[in-house]
Amino acid sequence: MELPITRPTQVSYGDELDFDKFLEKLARKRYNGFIRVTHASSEGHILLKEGIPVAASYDRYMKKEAMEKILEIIDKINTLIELFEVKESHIDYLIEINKVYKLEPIKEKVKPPTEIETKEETKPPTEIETKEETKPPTEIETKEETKPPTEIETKEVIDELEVAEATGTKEASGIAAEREEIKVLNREEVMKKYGLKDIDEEEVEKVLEAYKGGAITTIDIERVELTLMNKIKQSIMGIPNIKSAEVMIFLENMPELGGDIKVLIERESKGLLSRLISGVMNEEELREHTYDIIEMEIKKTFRGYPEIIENFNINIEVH
Amino acid sequence: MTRVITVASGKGGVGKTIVTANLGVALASYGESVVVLDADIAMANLELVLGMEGKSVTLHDVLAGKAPIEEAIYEGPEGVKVVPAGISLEGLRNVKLERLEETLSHLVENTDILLIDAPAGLEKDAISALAAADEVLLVTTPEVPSISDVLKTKIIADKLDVNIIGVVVNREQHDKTFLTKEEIETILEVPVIAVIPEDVEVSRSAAFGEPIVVKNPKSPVSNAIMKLAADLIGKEFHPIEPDKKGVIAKLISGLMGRR
Repeated sequence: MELPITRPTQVSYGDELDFDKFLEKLARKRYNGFIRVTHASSEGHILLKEGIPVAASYDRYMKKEAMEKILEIIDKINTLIELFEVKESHIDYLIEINKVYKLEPIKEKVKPPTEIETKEETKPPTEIETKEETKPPTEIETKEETKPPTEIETKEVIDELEVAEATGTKEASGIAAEREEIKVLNREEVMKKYGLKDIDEEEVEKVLEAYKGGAITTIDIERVELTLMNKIKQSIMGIPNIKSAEVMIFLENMPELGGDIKVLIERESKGLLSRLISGVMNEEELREHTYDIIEMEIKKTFRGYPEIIENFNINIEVH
Repeated sequence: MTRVITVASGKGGVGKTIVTANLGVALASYGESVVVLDADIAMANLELVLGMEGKSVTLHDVLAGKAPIEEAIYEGPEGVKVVPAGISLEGLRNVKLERLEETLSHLVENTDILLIDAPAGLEKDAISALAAADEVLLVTTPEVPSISDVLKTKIIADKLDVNIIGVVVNREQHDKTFLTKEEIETILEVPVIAVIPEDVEVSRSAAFGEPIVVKNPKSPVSNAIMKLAADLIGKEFHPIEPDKKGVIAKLISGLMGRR
């Protein structure tokens, strides 16, 4: 059988364990899990749903045959018996993937039911019956319930529930709804139980800001634009024979900080003679010099991140 | 339209990479065109799980601008396409995470599903992987520290407007110290869509670089992953039943060691 082998919850040898009592105990506990039986080089498994064997394999044997083979070696001195617990929600799934090993439901050998009996058996339970089933047990009833159920009794309960669910009767849906109700947990209580708490809004914002490339807000960006604009303008105006300079900066912070810088420069004199006399830069030289100024100002503004210069598009126009 | 699904966890070591790798293979086995991208560029091990280590071009090279993404795509089991992150620390220095988005836009062409294996934690690389996705699958173990971390990831995913498909509870054991499925759903306020039981076979298959859905398709783990894959694409799931072992096969497995 294909089963999740984890840590066994119990390990015994065949001669140390009364297997019948062991099975009875598991039935009483409505145990979900499986038993692994190892004898010499042979291995077998019994899958239990609510304490009832529902599938079995042993060596090359399956189903009832496998059970018989397991029972033959179960009390031997060199038979290892291991018990593994499986979550209730996994049992049906394990039965499904191991259905070739599924045991036939135990049927009592009774005379074939008459037509009336069959009808009675299949009729949906009345409202009173349903209520009776779901009402809280009295003390006496509880005591009665704790007595070990026989294999057939437990099987009958499972079968009844399965039939009700499979036929989709109102009662089944009622039971399912009731189960759902029970399952609704209080989040605060569960969080408290495990010492968990939600992260606050401030922490979330910090994490997201860090992702966006640093703790720069829209207001910060506007401030950076203004500062950088003034610095670049001041530096350009320091160049001789510059009449005016317009600097426009458009920064973006996604995915990382960068943007466009546009500079318009107007020179005082355009005459060749005056330029030769005063030693002023020609248009190309002025453009290169302005570019160097802008680069330097960016690097000075973002000290420690010289590579940020690659994120800027610089456009210079000289008139 | 390509579905971009990020598999995220919060805490490391919950089996996220193994789930991603096997889910990718499972989806591919249903006939989907799947690309699995290892976005864990600092602690990459998707390639180890899929037995694809030592590839010459990896995501590292793509993010460093040294190679186009097409050169970093390799074919894995069941035809799943894999983009390994590469495990060179040297390459990590040159990585520009901002290129990830551009890389993804190239990857989605001719792909049904792009699965992204996100790094653990909430550093920039982890959030980049989350932000790049349309949908997110949260992976956790039923232990308190894992739930605590995945809760943070879930909150960040919500903030980023990424659709949370559900939670995959991995390495489930019936232990009373662990949280139940109902408790996990209550805390995360997200449905648990798959419960994968603990099985040593998973670690074994990962060690051999073979996904468990290929190595042992009959195991409960494989069936759980195949069911998850089927649910994700709305296909019918048929459990793979174990074979009836013959005497000789049983004898051989007995000689080779139990289970």
